[in-house]
Amino acid sequence: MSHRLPAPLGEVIDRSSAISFTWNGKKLQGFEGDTIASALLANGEHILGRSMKYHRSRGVLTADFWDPNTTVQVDDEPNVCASHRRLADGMAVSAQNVWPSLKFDVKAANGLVGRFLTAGFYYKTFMKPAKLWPAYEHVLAKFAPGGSVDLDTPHGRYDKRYAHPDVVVAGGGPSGMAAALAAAEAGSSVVLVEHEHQLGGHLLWGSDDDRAAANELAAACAAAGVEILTNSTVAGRYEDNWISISQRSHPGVIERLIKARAKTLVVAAGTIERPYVFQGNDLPGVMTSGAVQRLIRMYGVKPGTRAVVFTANESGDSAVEALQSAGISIARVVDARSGEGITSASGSKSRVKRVTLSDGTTVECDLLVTAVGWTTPTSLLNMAGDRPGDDADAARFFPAGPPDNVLATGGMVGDGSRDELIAHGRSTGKLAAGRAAVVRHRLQAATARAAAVDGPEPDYPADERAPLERARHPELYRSTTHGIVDYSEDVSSKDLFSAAGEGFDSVELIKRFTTATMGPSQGKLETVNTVAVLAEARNESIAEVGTTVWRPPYAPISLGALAGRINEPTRVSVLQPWHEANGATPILAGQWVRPEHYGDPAAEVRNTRTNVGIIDVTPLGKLDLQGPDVPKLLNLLYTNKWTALPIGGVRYGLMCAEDGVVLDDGVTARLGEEHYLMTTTSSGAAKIWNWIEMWLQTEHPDWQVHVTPVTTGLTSINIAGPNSRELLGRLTADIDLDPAAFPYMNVRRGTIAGVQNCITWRIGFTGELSYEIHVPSGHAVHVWEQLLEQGADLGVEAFGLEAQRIMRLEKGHFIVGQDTDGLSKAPVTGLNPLLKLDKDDWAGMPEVAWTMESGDHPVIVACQPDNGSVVPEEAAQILRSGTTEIVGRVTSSRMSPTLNRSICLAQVTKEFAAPGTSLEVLLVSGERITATVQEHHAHFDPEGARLRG
Amino acid sequence: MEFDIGLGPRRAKPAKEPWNELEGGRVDETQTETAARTNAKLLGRPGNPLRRDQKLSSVGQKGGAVGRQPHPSRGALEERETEVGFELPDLLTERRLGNVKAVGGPSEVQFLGHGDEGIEAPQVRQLTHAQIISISPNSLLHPHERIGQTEAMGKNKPPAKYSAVGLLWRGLRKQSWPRVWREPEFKSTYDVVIIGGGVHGLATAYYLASNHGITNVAVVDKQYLGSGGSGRNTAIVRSNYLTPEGVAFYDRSLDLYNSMSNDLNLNVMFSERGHLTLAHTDSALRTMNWRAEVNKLQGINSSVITPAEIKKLTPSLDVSADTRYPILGALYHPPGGTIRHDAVVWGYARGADAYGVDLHQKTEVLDILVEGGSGPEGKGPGGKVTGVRTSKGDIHAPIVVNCTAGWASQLSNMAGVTLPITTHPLQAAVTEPVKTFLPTVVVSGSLHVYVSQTDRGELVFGASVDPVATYNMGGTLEFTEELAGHVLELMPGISKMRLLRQWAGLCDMTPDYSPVMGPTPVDGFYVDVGWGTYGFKAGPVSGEQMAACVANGTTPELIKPFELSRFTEGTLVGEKGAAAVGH
Amino acid sequence: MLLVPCPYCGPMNAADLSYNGESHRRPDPKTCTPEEWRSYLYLRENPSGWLLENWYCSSGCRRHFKIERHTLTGELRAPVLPGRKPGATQGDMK
Repeated sequence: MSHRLPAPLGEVIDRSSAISFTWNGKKLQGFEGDTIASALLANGEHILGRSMKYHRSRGVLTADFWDPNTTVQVDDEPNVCASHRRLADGMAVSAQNVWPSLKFDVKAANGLVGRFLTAGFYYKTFMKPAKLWPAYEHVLAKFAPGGSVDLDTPHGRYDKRYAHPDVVVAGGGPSGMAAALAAAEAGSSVVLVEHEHQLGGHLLWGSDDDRAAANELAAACAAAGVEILTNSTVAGRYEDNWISISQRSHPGVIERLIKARAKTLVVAAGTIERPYVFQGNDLPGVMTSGAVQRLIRMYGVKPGTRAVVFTANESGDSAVEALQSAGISIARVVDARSGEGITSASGSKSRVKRVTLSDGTTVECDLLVTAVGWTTPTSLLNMAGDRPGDDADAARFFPAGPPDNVLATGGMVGDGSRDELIAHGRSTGKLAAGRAAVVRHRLQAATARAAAVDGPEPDYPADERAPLERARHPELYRSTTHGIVDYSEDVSSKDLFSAAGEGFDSVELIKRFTTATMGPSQGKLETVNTVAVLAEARNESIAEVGTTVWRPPYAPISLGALAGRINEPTRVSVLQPWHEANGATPILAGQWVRPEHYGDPAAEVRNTRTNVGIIDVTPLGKLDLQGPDVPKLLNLLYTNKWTALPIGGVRYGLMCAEDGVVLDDGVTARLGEEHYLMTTTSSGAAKIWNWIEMWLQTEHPDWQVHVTPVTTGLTSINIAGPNSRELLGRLTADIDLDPAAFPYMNVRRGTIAGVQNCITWRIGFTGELSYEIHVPSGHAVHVWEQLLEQGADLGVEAFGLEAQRIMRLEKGHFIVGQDTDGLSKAPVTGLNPLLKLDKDDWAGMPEVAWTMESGDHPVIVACQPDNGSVVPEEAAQILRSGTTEIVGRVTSSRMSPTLNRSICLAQVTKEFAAPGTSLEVLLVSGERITATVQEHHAHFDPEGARLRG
Repeated sequence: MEFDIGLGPRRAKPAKEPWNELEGGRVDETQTETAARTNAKLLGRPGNPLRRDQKLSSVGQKGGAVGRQPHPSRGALEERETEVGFELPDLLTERRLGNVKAVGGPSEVQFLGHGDEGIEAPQVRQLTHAQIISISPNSLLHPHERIGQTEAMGKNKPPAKYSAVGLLWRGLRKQSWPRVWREPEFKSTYDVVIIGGGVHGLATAYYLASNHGITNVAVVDKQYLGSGGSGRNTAIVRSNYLTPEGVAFYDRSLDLYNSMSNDLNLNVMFSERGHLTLAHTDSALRTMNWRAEVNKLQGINSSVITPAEIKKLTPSLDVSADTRYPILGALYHPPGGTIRHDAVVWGYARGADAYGVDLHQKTEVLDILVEGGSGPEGKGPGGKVTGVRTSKGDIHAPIVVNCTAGWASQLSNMAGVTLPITTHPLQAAVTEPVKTFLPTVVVSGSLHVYVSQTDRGELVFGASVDPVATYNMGGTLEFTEELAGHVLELMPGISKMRLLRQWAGLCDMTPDYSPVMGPTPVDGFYVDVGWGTYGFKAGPVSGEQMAACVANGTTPELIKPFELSRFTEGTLVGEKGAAAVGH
Repeated sequence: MLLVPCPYCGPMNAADLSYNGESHRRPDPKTCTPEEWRSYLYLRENPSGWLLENWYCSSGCRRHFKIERHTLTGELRAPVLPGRKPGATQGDMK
């Protein structure tokens, strides 16, 4: 660590604690508290990367969070800012964007042809020959900047947290700390967020008094109960002060996303020092005044040996002091305030060697420090709707006026001594607390069920803060030469001039054309210089040119933190463990995990058709409806009539949306005088519940109906097959299963396997004699096991979803959403007798009526390939014979184990719907086969003898 | 805007361009500065005001050049324009070669045989709307014959030809490129006013000029060109839609995108990298198969592939079976890909401008002028459009085309036309760049996400539209959270990549996820709106067809299914299945 | 994220509610013309400004209510339950 300065310089490093790391494979040492960049500089490594386009050597520029030149790869993590990331033991750090090595980079040859690679050059070439463009593109992509992703990176620990603070303060400099302290003292709960590793802001690299004041304020904040988050960033401000905070300092997690509903947001983001645009401004050894002060005072690192300082403000003057304190010789102080200037810098590829001043003299040096002014990072204010304006006298932007619940303080709104900044922060914190109290009161009052509100609403405090003065500052953006404006994107002022000359002369167009400000700092460092150069090119003022809108996030945030702990829940029936323990293959059906089959779906079909099978149909949506007006509701939502349904009766219903398109279907049973149980499709359960509530609450609030979803409260088991009556009979004593007493489409309640209050209805999705029982879920496993045990001699076996799908297709039952689509109006189903146009009203009735009247709609038909061994794919298109005109498509198809042939449902135009019509089906393979339209939807037992038996 | 170079004299003497000499560091800067100022003075142009220097001196400096230096920008920019195209390379690449053979698209072809002689061409005839729509396609006096290409073409200059040779030559000569488009004068009368300077509006203008010879056209935009959806989309193009109507339409668009770089002589960087739509459920897989079958019948390269094939194409995807959203297959569409969206806007703008179309930026339409309608103020059905009121003054025009997104309802309401549209924000986001690892465009409908990697290495993400209708483009945190979660479901290895920026655009959603194109009940008022989340990929074909619609007064077959009247006739287009995720 | 004042639950994160779009009158299905019905189905004012719209407190009390929202600024006025008059509940909490 040859470039390390002696103590007491280096406030934040712990010289007693050394840390080992590697840099491009070379083993180096730093101290606890070092950033990667400070440790590298201490080791004399001052080239940290190469630029994107010309692959020029780049070194530390700002030595902070926004440093564009120090992006490195750390282990499997790309694009780490070495000037911000703290050194950790064993880190493997390497330079990005270099090949074959940092010192010798082949692509630096681009620099030689730079004049041809002007901004947007790629738009102007590679057009011909067109077929070569992919090859060009391939080469261009090789120049993509950035590190490498290791695709085997595990999803590490990330976390999220909700917070409901009164006040969030963004920025832990003097004003931010003072605001947090004042707000806490006024009774607010406060979160103080600082993106660097310690509170203090610019006081940290100021005088001894400054550092003492910073420490004192930080301690006071902690004592007052302020929650302090360092190495954390307020990343976004969204509607109603919904604040996102990226916390990189939470123990045990890589990054944590805090979502806070702040009642007031205080933005104290300070200012960002702007680089100066001149020829050679990207040479290693050219730094901002803040960078040298940080390096010397915080990290005890010697940034050079002989410095030229170009200063226009106090920060430059302090940099001179810092350099002197570190024993670095000052070759020249060039003071902009007395009319001096610098024109260009030059040197070797790896280091600045001399500076040319505007009087023509040349000064030798290896460090050029610039202090030319500030950029106001108004990003969070932008997100709150503020559109800051430029103040030419102060040479920076200021907020125009954010909304009442967002307050700015500190360097963002003006200048002043340490005490003045602290005073402004304090008055801002007090104001923030006062406003937060009012918002808190109103929120409480707006919550109807809240306990009594504490007292009357406090008065809304007006903004009576004494404003900070805006110090005059020369407008220093570009010298007489051209230099880099956007370091990350390798965009020079010359590029900007030429783009403006080509007509890309609004700030948005020039940004898009040149990609200036599009890099990792999103223009924190570059935007104002870009605007200034454009203003120069257009001969307008900066205010006239305007600026771009900063979008969230304020600083890059990892996908892992945004995702948090990934947990996308699935739903299961209480029987699912049994299924999986007994060989079921699970399948995801919507949100549900269900048994697809237990090994051989065809065998399951045959067993059910021959003996008896049981299937878990719990995902079926179930709604318990009670009240005198349920029949009115059913009449309104279903296409058919419900007023005559007797107690104990079950009826099938079809639902339409208001545009007449099929929405859902299912059966509904009348359990009692005013008590019904409705079933919906599995995927429609939540949707139909909302649909019912909507009609009840908005169109018919006078109807008395109470809806309770009971989908998972009841476990549903379908017992199907010739032996089903026998099987169920063995488990129940109080339900009379005699066909005369309990016919098809009826419902009974009774005790099954000792479980009381089971609901049983006779319906037949599979086309078999079948009973569907709805068992209180706590007893479902018992009932399921009893069914299997008691029915062993009857050949009972569980069957899965696939067997059910086959059997329903054999029976010709359509599935909403598979055999119908988003344009299928009710008549498509062919269930015209269920479409009761003589009712007063039902959802979708007018459209259905007009559709039936026009007759111009496709219909669902059953069809069978003439060659029964071919199963056309679901989605196979049906064509007009010998043409490519689409007249329909196969919507469901299977090989039927019962019929030993292939069977289908299809949607076809009316012209092709008549029984006996020969259809031409185009298989996915391209082969065309013929199929014949059947008389009934049911391929099997069309008369329904089995299910009614 | 001050440097209006208009259609300045074409045979001006080449002037030295001092500021271009600034590069290289060998030139004495001070001398160059002086030369520039002198030059400007000699040419009678205002020199560089020293406003900022004066401010500086008020801070207490004693003269001298510090800080923001005076710069010869203004003079230089102006002069550069006057000498456009008369150096040797231009003669080679633009003029001479252009005369010998058509080396590029319409922008060159139009000048075949015209050389520079068109400067004094007669003014383009003003067409009334009655004239335009009274002409049937079979009429002898077809609009594009009436205002023939010769008239339109002769009037205008070609844009400077972009080519590698030009790049090399200008690089060697340190010579800059001319403006991409003019800053036209505001005129009070046009044949056609197009509202919206995005890809739809500009393409319509371009094809009106290039295919129909109608060049007395104004494109007005309240901001800068491409400031709406054209500049905010994720630039994915494909044609594997679900309905035959959709497929035919988007396939034509893809054709136009394919030849666009050459047609417009500007590299729009169309990257035909293949497009994968993942299926995580068997019902999604069924829809993929359905789409593939419809696509194949229409000659579109589109097929369903297996997880193993997906892994081969895109190794970063997790195709293992035990994930929450297992990848069961994908619809693979090799011709799909990405394009540089801004370049498309600039290409059409430059092309339209070259034909004489006036592009008015920062010109907001405040009202649409309608007479004789059945609604309030004589607007609405049965009325006839007479022009638009803009923030810069009234424009009289018999034809007004609404090519906006986000404000389509507002503008149509101004004409008394209510649309079947609600406006929702669609959010998108981009990460920091990393070395390229994602070679295809990946879309997942179930996870509401689509992702591609730019040549710069950034991942670009988009999602479905936000559920709540709003004109606020502030974006939401929830979008980024869901997005990240879903992307990491697909590609678990990229958790350490960082999100750099999120933004939103406004999407005008229609009930059937298909656009509204063609005439409206107000005579002369046309719409090309309701583009939902897929407007960018349809830009070229929309422009082409809308231009034909306006020029011929009849709706072309390709866009007939998308007429506004379908919502009163109940004949909606069933595209929801393929377009429900905004990509 | 917008805070939407549910008349029962008080201010709720918008993500915890369902948005049901522009509020409009349903024509009488027995007597309406296709134009009227389809205008109800499809046509929307879609203003950039104040809009009366339907919300559903789907993660809370499961009540449907109407609220006036400014579609550009996100401002909200007091919510209304069906069948009640505006002003019945207090909603201004900003």
